[in-house]
Amino acid sequence: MKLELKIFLAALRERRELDAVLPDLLSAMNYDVISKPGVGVGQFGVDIAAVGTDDDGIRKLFLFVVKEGNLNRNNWQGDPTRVYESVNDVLNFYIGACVPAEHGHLPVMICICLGGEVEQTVGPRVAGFTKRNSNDKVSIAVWDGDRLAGLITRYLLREELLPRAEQNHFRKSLAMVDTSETSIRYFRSLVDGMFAKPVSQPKHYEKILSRLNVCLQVLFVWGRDAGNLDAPYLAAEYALLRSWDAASPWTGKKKAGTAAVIAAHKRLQRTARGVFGAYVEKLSPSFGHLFALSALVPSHEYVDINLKLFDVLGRVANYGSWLFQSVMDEGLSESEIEDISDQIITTRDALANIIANNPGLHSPFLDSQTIDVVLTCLFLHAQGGDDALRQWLPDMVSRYVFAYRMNNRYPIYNDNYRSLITHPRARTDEYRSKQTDASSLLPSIAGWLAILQENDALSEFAAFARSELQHCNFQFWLPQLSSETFLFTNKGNTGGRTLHSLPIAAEGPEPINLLQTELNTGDDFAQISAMRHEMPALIFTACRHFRIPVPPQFWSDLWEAPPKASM
Amino acid sequence: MSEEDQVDPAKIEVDILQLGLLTVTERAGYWLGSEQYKAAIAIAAKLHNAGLIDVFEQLKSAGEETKPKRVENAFWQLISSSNITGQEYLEHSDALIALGKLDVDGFIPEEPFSRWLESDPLRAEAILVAADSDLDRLILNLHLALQNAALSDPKGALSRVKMSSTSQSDQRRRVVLWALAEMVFRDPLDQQEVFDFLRSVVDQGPVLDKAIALNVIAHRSARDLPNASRQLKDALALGKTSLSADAWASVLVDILWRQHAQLSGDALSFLLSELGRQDLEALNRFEHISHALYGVMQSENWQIGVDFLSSLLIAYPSLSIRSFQTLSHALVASDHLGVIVCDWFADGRHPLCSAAVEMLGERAGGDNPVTVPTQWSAALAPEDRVRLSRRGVGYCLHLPITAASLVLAAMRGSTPAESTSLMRLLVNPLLYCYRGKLRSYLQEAVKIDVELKDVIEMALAAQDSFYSGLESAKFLSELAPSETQRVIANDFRREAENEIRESARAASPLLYLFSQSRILFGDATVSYFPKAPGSEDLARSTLQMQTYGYEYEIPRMDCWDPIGVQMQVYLLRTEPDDR
Repeated sequence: MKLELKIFLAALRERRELDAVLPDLLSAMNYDVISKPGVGVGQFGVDIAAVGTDDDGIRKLFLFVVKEGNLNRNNWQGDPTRVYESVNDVLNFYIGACVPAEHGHLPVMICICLGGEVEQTVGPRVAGFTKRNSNDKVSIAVWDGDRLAGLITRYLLREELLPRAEQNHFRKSLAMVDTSETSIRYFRSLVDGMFAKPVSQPKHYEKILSRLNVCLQVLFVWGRDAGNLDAPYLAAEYALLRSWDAASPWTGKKKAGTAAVIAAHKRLQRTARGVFGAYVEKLSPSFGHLFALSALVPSHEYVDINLKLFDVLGRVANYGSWLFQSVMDEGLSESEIEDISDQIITTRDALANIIANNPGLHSPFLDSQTIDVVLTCLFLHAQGGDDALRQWLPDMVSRYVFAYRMNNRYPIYNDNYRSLITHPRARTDEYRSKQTDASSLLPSIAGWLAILQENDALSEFAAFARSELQHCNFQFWLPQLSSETFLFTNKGNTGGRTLHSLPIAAEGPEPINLLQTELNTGDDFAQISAMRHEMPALIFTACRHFRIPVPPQFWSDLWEAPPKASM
Repeated sequence: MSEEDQVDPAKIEVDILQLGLLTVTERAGYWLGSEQYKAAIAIAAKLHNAGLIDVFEQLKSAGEETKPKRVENAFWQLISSSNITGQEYLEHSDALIALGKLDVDGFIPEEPFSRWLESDPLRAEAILVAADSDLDRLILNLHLALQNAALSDPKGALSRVKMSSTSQSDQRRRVVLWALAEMVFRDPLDQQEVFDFLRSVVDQGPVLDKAIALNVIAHRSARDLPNASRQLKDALALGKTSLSADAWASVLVDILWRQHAQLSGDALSFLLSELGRQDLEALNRFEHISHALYGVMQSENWQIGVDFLSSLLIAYPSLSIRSFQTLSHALVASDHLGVIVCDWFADGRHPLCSAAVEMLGERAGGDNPVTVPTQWSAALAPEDRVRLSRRGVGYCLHLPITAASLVLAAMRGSTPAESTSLMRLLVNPLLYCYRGKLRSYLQEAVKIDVELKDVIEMALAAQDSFYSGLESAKFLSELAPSETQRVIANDFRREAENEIRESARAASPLLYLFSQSRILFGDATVSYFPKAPGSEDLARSTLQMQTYGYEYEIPRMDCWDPIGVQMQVYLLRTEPDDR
């Protein structure tokens, strides 16, 4: 395991990666982290500060100067961001001015923390520098990748904490990271193993989440090195969902430990958001060019391209929803808020570009792609991206009508891959009717057309539904509190209820009236833990990851009955 | 003729003198119609004419072992070069019929019989006299006798026709009426008399006679009459009033089928416009029409034929160009193909466009540029240019070079604004879908087509920009389908290929002709086999195996967005629809 960790540590970047691992590690070592890394905040060279007992049994103040990769001539000395200068800042300014009074009496240990190792070219200089500047009060040490890997193994992933079976799952997950289907299977087993026994104490939960966080980061870095972030993306989603379900003793009702549990989960959320962001960023060069994303899917099967396009769309929208949620988090600095806000805009534009440049997205092939469509609509609508939706959804209706009438490649609800690649098996009315006798896609599109007040497209769709989709049962699944476990584990009963036989073809207020009437009838969706804690992105991720319909509760309020004059 | 087949006339002559014609040709095994056979016949006729043998007696006395067909064939071959009189002909043929060696129904091959008649007017007279006495077996060849008689005595021949036209025998009447078609009357008065006679038949004759008379008028009119078209139209108008609708339609088809080569452009147009008004589907004579139009296409009136074909394709949805197979093959090979398909795409109606694309797909060599004269392009109206381009691309997306050449044809002679607008079709979908041969074609076109150089270069630049956009992002593992999906897709593809292979094998006649053996590896085989059954001496046999392949470029957008491409094609095929 240590070898895997060394590879992981060597590949970590300084900002938001190596300095994000350390707090978890230090907590696991029973250190009290008193200062965490911040963006753009002057810290006189200190990235993280913690108080703890050193190997010599003495309680010390640890000041970490974090650098990615190896220490060499390039990053040792030369400008204010180099290690030499940073440690001098700590010695000359931080120790004198910034150490909290309550820790002023403690001996200081300055740790040069590296993901890699000290290269021979600067080894003697570093040794001389540390010796020269060490005394009874202050000492300087190097925590290189080898030491960090040892500490992670000892404090986070040792066998008592991560049993051999789970370590094996983790290793396999890393080894197969380029084959995401296999990698995610092992990662899920790892996560399920971590939460196999009920979590009894918030502290226990925090420790598990620290381990999970490190495992996710290791997988992410391995995936990045392998050039494939598919498995890390899925792993991040699963980790978020499974760990949230495990937090249910504290998330259902507010009680002692709830805040600590939520805080631990938010740390995991930050890591997951980083993984999501890296995935989106990696794909982003293809977003701005016509058909570029479609052309990058290495398959001649249209089905593969279509499935992948909607998958990417859903992932980008999911990332957007996490950004949108995180900007509301407490305790963010102004620069952090600005940074996240910029990312929200970039993500919105990315979604608009993906839709405009990949016309295959205007022709869903599966009813379950409603999930990706609705997630995109929710994010774009919230971020002022209605123009993109106005281009997209009416065209989707026209294409649906065209494909249906041509009796070719209209959306079906059977998501079995073999069925998809052979669809349509027969070009008969009978076959088509059977394949389209239920739909959540169409009422969702109709609802969003109504929200966007795209009345022409809505009328076209209603007329089509009246004349040719009489056999289709338009429906919405309305989850309730009883759906809580299912949402985050995809196990057990779905809970909630399905509102069906929606009169979409009526071209009037009936569907929304029915939906709102039903939602006003004892709907306790708002009591679902993620909603109570204002984390709708968790539900979006659950919907995307487990392919569960996005609850219309998120958007039914936007859907107003048409004014009487237009009915 | 090979050396072995060389004829030795002297030897044959001796053999015929000694053994008789039939014995010689049978023993030598000459094929009927072969050069040796013809030479033997000629020698026999010469000997007969010289009085050295009576070859007709030889035929009559042929034994049982000689097939009657052989006797019959020899008889007709001999007739044309022998010097027998009309009376002798009748006697010989009667005798052979009585012996069962000549077809009793009186089938007479026209060519040798006509040659025999031509060389002596008295022979025709003899036949006509015999025919007058209702010798039924001569009726079918009465027209030949009449045609020959007319050469020496046109008035007499005409009066015989008139006389026979009152006969109670339908067959006799029809034969003599048909004979008029080819009878030569040099005197304009005679010509007018023929025409007037035929008109009177059209006016008052039995239905079938009317049809024949109209045919004959059509046949003769261009040759004999100074104002042929008008007279033909008058006659047709008369026929129309005196025939039932069905009979009238049938007559029109007959005239077209039999007389299309004789008709002037004006007359043909008139005929086809009349024909166009009939319910041809009920008549079910499209095969005849197809053959007739095939003939028209070979003439200077081809455009009239194309127009009529177009009207048929539009009027009868059940028809396609495949309904006119011979015609369509001729059109595909014709120099006019470019103009015809461009006309049809510019017209824009679905039946014409699908006929055009079917013909383009049948060209030898597959996807090739369509060429039309520049003056044809220059005469196009702006809306026709748009329609030609849109339909061309919409129907020929699978033939990108063809489609591009249609757009270029539409661009020639257009304004710069029109060209730029049409160029968009070159870019999307054509250049977006295809890179290989289409790009090479356009790069070549730039060199040749100076007028379109700028606009083609703009299109190529747009393609460059599109593909550089596509290639701006590198391979992304994240986008690869899962292993499970790959396995399922591969299994499915393999199953489908196996199915196709099995059904192709099942349908292949070659499998019944050759034995098969499976070679597991390598591209050449060697085997040894005994040189003779039981021999220990082995022969070595080697075989270099061959690879056959077919390469085509898949339209790339069809993979990325098939519904979009289908919709685009649909719109290109249907819009603008200003009809």
